[in-house]
Amino acid sequence: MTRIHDVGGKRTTKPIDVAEDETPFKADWEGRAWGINEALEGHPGWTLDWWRYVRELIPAEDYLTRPYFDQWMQVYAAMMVDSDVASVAEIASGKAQRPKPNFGQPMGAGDVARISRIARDFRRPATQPPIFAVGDAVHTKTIGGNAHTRLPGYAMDKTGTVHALRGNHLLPDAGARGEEVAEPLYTIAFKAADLWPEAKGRRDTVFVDLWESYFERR
Amino acid sequence: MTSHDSKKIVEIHEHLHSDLPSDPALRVKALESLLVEQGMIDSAAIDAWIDLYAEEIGPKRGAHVVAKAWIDPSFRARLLADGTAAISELGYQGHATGHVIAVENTPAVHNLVVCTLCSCYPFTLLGISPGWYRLQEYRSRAVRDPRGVLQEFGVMIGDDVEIRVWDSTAELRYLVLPLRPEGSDGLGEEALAQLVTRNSMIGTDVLQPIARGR
Repeated sequence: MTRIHDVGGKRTTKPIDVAEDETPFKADWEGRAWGINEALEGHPGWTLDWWRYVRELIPAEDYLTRPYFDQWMQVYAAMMVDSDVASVAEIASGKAQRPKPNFGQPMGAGDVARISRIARDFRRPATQPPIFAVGDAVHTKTIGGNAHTRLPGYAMDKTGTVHALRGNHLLPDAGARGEEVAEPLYTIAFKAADLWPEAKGRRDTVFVDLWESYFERR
Repeated sequence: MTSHDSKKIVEIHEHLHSDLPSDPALRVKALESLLVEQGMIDSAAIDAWIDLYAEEIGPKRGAHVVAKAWIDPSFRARLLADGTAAISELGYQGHATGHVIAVENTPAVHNLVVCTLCSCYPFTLLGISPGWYRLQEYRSRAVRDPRGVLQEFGVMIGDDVEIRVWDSTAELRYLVLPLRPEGSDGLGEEALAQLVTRNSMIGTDVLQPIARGR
């Protein structure tokens, strides 16, 4: 497993398509996909981090080539098969071969305006105070394997400084395993020169939002 | 039950790869049909979400926030202190904007936002993300060569200016507060909002001076 999604710092050769306009959807199916994403409440086990993890596990050939919203739909398809809500054959044909599951009434058109204004808060009450303070020097860990984590590869085993404390946030690594655990979240500042060999002498800074268990005191 | 089992998911992805039609439009159509038949989704709700993002939710919301911050110092202070509380005053809070952090450009600092691990974006503030924001080229290079990336966007940042790159690895969502264009003195909130581009709120654009006179 190559952590195909973890691309920070990788060399790429293709130029960025900077001329793109501000139209939200480039095709009708993209709008449908977005609408499905917003309107589907689905199975209680489908947390945001499980969703992200399922996307990270898309095989490289599809992850690198299939359109963005198409991959989002593949995530729902995979979660549905995994949770035994549908089979691959049912998803391919668009026809159910089983009774309706009981997830209650789906979101109606009249609910959309109200729901669109609900912002989720990912903080949870803290059981202990944060260990680190602004200005502390920290050194990040290396988290190997293909488990879900939000510590990017380029920021592993690197030294940075605590820039800000952000509250006690749900830990994605646990969320992807179906557990609800919260930890102090920090924004850590890394000097570009401490991340990239060619950045020596550059004054730029890269800020990464990291949970307390991702690093140790320097 | 949800398995939380990566091996099982990899196998499912392989089955989907071989059994689903290749055309994304056909895939989405089949998925929607199945979800509707199973009572998990209402097509009218999908239509309502599309309309909302086609008409109401988009970069113009972020532009409104920026323009207001330029002309109202107390709003600017509230925005920098607690982004979500400030955008909630305008009713712009929602999907992915529960923890908004506004970062301010100054003559000495230019901010640039990226998500290297996926493509996290403040949807209810800036609308649907641009394609380039989601692709490997931008995501990989923004943290390593921000000056090169900005040059591709036609933005030159002097060596005396610090570039601050914000990698959205948690549920915090960053909004760049661009520098107010030169020559925009005296313009009202609405006229100022017209000058704010989507890319300037991600950090891949700087706003050009306005020609004086006429």
